Amino acid sequence: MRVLLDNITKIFGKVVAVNDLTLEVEDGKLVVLLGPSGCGKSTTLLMIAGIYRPTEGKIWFGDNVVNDLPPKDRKIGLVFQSYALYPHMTVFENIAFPLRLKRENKKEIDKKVKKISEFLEIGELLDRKPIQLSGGQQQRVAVARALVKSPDILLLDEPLSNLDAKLRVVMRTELKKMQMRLGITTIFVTHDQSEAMTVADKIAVIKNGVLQQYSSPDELYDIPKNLFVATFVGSPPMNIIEGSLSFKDGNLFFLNPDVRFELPEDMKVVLKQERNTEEVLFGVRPEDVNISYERSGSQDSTSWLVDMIEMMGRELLVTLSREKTMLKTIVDREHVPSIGEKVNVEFTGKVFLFDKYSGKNLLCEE
Amino acid sequence: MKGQTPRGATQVIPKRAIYSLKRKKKKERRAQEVRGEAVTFSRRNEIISTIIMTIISIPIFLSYLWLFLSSFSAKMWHGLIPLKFTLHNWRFLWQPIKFGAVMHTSIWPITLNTLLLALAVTISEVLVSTLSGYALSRFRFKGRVMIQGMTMLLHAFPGVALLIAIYYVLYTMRLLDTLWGVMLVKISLEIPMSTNIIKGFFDNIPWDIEWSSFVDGCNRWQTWRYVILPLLKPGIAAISLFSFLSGWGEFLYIYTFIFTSKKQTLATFLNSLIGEFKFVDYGLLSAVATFYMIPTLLFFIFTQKALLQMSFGGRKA
Repeated sequence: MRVLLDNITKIFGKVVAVNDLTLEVEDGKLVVLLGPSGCGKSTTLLMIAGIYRPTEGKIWFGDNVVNDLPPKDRKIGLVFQSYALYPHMTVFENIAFPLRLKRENKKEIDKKVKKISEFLEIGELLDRKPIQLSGGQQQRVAVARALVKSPDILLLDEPLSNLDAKLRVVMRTELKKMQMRLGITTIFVTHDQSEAMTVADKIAVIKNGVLQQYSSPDELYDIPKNLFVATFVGSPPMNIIEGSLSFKDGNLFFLNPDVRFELPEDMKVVLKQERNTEEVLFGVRPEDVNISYERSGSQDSTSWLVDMIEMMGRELLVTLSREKTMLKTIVDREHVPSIGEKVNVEFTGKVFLFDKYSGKNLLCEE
Repeated sequence: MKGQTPRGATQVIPKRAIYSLKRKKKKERRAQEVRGEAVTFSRRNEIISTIIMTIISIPIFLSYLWLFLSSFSAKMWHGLIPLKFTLHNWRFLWQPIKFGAVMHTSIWPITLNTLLLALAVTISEVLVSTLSGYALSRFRFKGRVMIQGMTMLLHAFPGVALLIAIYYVLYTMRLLDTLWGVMLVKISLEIPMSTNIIKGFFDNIPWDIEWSSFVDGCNRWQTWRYVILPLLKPGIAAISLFSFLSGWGEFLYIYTFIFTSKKQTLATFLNSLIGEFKFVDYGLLSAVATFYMIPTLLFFIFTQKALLQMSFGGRKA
């Protein structure tokens, strides 16, 4: 079912938790609400669930406004970070609980619980109490309880945060697989950008209750609308360098006391308009920074010092410095630089420019 | 690694050294030592605490034993050792006791009074304080903190200080010399404490669980019935035990506000056995006292299991 948040605002006392949020979740898609903790993403989810009432704005499920509908009538399934299993009930009773409340008959309940628990591979655990389960098992039970009444919408509030790192990676793939198989509209809240990127059809980045960008994962990565999105998405985060722009001999340059980069052709067109060129931020992702060891002619003006090398497994994260300017880059392990060595730098991928004050991506038309 | 200077045994073993076999062995030994120590330490502790508790409880146990035995014996040798088995002391169960010039009423109506008082206090306290505790724990309303503070204050206030004031209140309400009056006084003075106790239990139940139940299809009443109440069992056991005991053992208010001997309870009845005459029939007294204890023991045995869960309550929630 299509979910539409229409100018939603939620105020707790004096705190504006969610500010004028508009978001459309298409039928059958998985949308992630992504943002740092306290940004209002969980509040948004609880409003969709009907636990909080929006102070302003309307929530649409399909063609109906559901603002006044209590949670039990919204046909939703909800999984909390804590899983919120009922400790006094067995796994079976936990999963059957929503059906019992609907007064379905016993045979029907048995059948549905069996089916969903086999689907989630927890068939052997039905007689146990939640306290006897591992984190991953508890999570499956919580998902089963949310899905057993075949809801129209599945809401997941940080469902993976309580699992250990390895299991988290496994479970997020499984959640995504399950969602695609069932084709259920899903809204997934997380603060983990890599989790968001892997599972989402579309990601809504939220900061301080305000929607920053709502787009597909690759668009979010390739065309971040502002500095916050650019630095929040991607790991290790994008390099940001302060400086100014200048035209010289028909070429566009980014300058600061330590560095001088020539910017690609296409940027010129965009920057023709009157923009603040004095104070900008230059951004480049670590994987788009290439280092080379050949001593070219004017090496002194372009060379960087290798400051630190961090092992990341398949690759190395190398921190370069030039006076006060720092640059991180990812280097494969074939060509390991040594600390104190001088290297040349070249940008192979996209580079970004942001306004220093508004944080806006200068290359985004708006 | 070998070149590194060895550090003191108490210090944290450096990460890299973990790979060194030598160090590993040392660490293991140390861990074993620590483990061994911990075991003997706790065992020693256990023994000591058992001894202390035994010593403390011996006098209490002996006095209860004495009470029990003397109620079944006709004569006590030096007041300590029971001599002859008899049921004479328990005659109050089947006949009114004549005691000096006073003819006491049968014990059964008095027992019924006591039971009524205790049950009334228990039931109304559980009902009122679970609801008010829920409100205090879950709802944010004006004056919530003040109410909480006042309940504590009211509990800290000694009941004796209120006697005269309550007397006037009961007098104007025409509730003097009625069991109803005493029940009301008792309930109103006990509710604040049990509300506070039960509020703590509510605080331990996470919001997530309540919200989950809303999404699963509960209305407020069903959430209360199927989710909250089962999680609250230990708390309810605790307050019902406390309130039952306090109702069953109530003496002061009965003594002050009840004048008709038919309306008194076991506590004052027991008192009248001691106080009215110059000589005291210890056999009878101990039999009545033993009789007085039975319901308390029964109640404790039935709630004990739930009470003992109290300590896990926090971890579970």
